Amino acid sequence: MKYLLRYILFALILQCVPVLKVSAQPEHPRPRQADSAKQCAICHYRWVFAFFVEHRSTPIAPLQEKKVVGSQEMCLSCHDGSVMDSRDRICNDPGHRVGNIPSKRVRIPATFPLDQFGRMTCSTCHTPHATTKEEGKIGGFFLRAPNINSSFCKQCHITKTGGKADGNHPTDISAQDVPQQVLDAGGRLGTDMPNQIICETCHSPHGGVNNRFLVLTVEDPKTRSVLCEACHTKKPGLTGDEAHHQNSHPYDLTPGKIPKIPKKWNNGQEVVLGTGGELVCRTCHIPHAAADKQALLVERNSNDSLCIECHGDHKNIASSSHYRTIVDPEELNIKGQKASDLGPCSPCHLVHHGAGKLMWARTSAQISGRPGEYCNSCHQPGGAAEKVMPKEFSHPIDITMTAKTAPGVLPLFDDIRGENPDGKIRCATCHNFHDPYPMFDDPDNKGTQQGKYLRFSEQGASGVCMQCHPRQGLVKNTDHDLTLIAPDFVNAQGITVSQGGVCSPCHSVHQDQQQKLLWAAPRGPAKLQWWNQTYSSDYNVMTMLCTGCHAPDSIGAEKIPKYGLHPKDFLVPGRELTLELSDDRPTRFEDDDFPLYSDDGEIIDTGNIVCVTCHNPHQWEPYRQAQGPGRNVEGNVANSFLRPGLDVQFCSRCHGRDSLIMYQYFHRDIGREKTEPSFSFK
Amino acid sequence: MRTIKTFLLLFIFIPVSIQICCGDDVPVIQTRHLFDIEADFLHPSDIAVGTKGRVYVLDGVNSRVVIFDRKGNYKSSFGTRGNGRGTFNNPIGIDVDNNGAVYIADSGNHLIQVFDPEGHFTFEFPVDTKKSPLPADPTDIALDDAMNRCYVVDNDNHRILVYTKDGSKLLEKWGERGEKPGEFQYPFLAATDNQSTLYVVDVLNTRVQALNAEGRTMSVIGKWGVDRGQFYRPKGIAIDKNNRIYVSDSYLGVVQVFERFRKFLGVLGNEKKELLRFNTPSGIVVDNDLHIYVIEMTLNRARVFQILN
Repeated sequence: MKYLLRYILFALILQCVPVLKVSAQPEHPRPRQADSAKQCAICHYRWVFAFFVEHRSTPIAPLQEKKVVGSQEMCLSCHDGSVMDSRDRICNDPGHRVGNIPSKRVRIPATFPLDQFGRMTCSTCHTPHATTKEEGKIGGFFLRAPNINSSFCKQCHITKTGGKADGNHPTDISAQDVPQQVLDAGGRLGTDMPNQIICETCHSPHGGVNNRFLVLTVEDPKTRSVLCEACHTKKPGLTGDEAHHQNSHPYDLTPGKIPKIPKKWNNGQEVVLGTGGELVCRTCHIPHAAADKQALLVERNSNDSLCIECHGDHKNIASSSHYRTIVDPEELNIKGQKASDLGPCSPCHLVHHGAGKLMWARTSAQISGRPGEYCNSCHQPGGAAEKVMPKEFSHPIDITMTAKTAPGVLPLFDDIRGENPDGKIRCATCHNFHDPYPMFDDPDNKGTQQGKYLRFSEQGASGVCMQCHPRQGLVKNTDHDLTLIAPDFVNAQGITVSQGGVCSPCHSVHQDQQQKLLWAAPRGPAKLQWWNQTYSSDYNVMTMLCTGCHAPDSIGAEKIPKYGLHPKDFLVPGRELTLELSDDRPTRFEDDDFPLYSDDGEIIDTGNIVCVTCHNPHQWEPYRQAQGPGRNVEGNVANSFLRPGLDVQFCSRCHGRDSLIMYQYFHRDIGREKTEPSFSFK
Repeated sequence: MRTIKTFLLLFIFIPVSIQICCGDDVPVIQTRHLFDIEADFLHPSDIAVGTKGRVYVLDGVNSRVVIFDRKGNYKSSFGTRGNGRGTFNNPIGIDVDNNGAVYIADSGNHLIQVFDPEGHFTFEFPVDTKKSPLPADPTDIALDDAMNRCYVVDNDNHRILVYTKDGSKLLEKWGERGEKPGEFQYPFLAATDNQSTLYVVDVLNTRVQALNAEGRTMSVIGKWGVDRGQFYRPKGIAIDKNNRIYVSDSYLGVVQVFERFRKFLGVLGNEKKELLRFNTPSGIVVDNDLHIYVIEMTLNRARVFQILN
């Protein structure tokens, strides 16, 4: 009997083995309130009787010990269309992330379960047990807690609340209008006030368009900043001012080579661009955790430092007279901001709500883009820069250019679009207002320097001229290049060659004295005293421009014409003009042309032969489109600034077969008066 | 005494032995893997075999149908997302009649669209919503050429709608929400056999109901569980030419095989008699050559096997 009892005891112990196995689950703690009933285990898979009670696998199902109730696979097992079709929203859009460990910026309430690895699962937010009669308050999405005006979101995303004070886009404010576009895309409004902005106005945890699950895109190449624009541009949005974001910084455009967009901002934040490389609102602004809390900027913009990060080519303005912050600290822009409180950009430009194109901040009048309008806001009588105003005789503006004069490197402008390759010359064609170089002494303030703000200043002070006048640029390194032969020469405007560059001895773009060719060199007499006074004209502008230098005691005294000009009033008729016309102005000095001039210096069909009829003062060798030799060379008939063709047909070009007879007749007649040959070829 | 000892020993060891043997013992329906079909699907849900060897994959979230030949070579596709003719909104079920006409259960657009074998739109008909608490949610359509019928599964309204094949006439409505025979909880995919029996996967009742032409439940196949012949998430159903019934279980990842009406036959396995494990198997179909096509929804592909026994 004793043995019998032992057997019975042994048998009972063995029969209890499965039960002991179930009890021994060190890795996976026994769940609370587990129930193997179908209603529970249909989602709580590990509660299936075979697994949980019998702790065994089945022929078709391995033993399940881990918690999988909130896994995406479990959710999809019903949300694949068999109960609810959420394939689009849960599994294929970039919705709220699951399967990752929440960042430190997120605070997960203790009642929101994570999986055993601390990762987000569907059940972190959702539970089927949450359905109540107050379906509306719960949200109808099986959320674990009521979601009143996005209160559910804020339980975890504590750093995304607090509005601008915490560097976040404000919520729980009433927008004047919310575009239907946002609502159609799934954006929701709060219920406490009209058009209440809540988290879900912009974000949809399922059904968003990007990994921030925004309801509309901010960086798509086709629709770009559409979410921001929906409220802040195209519709009145929050401010009630329809024009609030007109005349703003350009966006939704791919920047050109300049400005240069950095990969990262100075504070290390990634620079966000549209998927096509476009500048988008999000490039400068960030709706959460903004460094600049007022404007929600990605980085603080102290002294316009954010602007300069892209517009680095404008940084030289800080050393210029255009730096209003230093030059005129008390000056106010149209927002009433004092220059001394601003960086170098904001006195002239407002990123949003400018007075016109270029986000102009210097006049409240709407800027239309007409010629000189921006510049005149300062460079006018009574303006901040009235001392530096365009003179009466200046390079023409608001004209188009021909192919020969417009190589396409300088910007042209129209009234509507601004910069336009087919536009016209404006101040900004030659001037870069943000770069003062080259500098020169300020005649009004001794000891200080003034900037010319010229483009291509790295090519010298006249570098910009040669961009449109490349043929005239061949004057470099010739005997007419005073930077080589007379660097101390001062033109009629008081500008030295070193200040003004190679063009400046003869031409001054802005002056108040001479209109003809914007002449800056001294004018000479119309005829020299030893010329035949009878034949020479008493007044001939074109001659006077040359004799300003090529006269006794002048810089060109060594090259004075020995004989006078072609007889006065013996005008050359009948030549066919082949000149190209530009804006009704004749183009001068064509290679195959021998221009004739009126006494006033206009090219005419029948006119006087003057120096430049035969000479091209900008090109040393007629058959070589090149700059000069760079040293003083004695000329001959093959160079000497002569025009092409003169070496073989100097006279016959006009006089034909009669050339020799006429030459002998007229020149011998002249010679007979002086009893010596009038002219001889060496 | 000796007898008592012997009895006790048997009492001890027999249950343990039974537990061990049964744990691994499951009949395997052997198959040989032929090929997989992939074509940038996005959560495909169902598959059908048509005339001239055409295979139609319903590429649900892409809202299109992709046509392949019987070797899995891409031929063409039709349909885009939309709500007009020839466009779909997350369709789920597909079937092909004996003439090759392709019927699509366009769940999101609440209607049935019919196309010719090449994918050209033929006609459409809306799914009836009279007296239904929710908008129609047609998740599948099963065709019965012999009866000139089509059975539309209205998932959200837990019922089957019987139409003439041309959709012109609603003949009957079968079922409501419930657990009794003839009632449904989220019926999903369906198929017919050659004896005009309709088989409907009753997802949350974890069973397949076999209905005769009058709508009476002839038998219930499977029940709740994770063991042989039981279902956890039944989804797809197919009938082969021998009237064997194949049911996919998207969470257990297996395809189980039953005799007509009830008896469990086995589970699809490979040539080594190892169980075939699928990832979210959904719609299935078996052609006359006993090739079984299984949609793996989350892997965005269809797997094709030759059934060997």
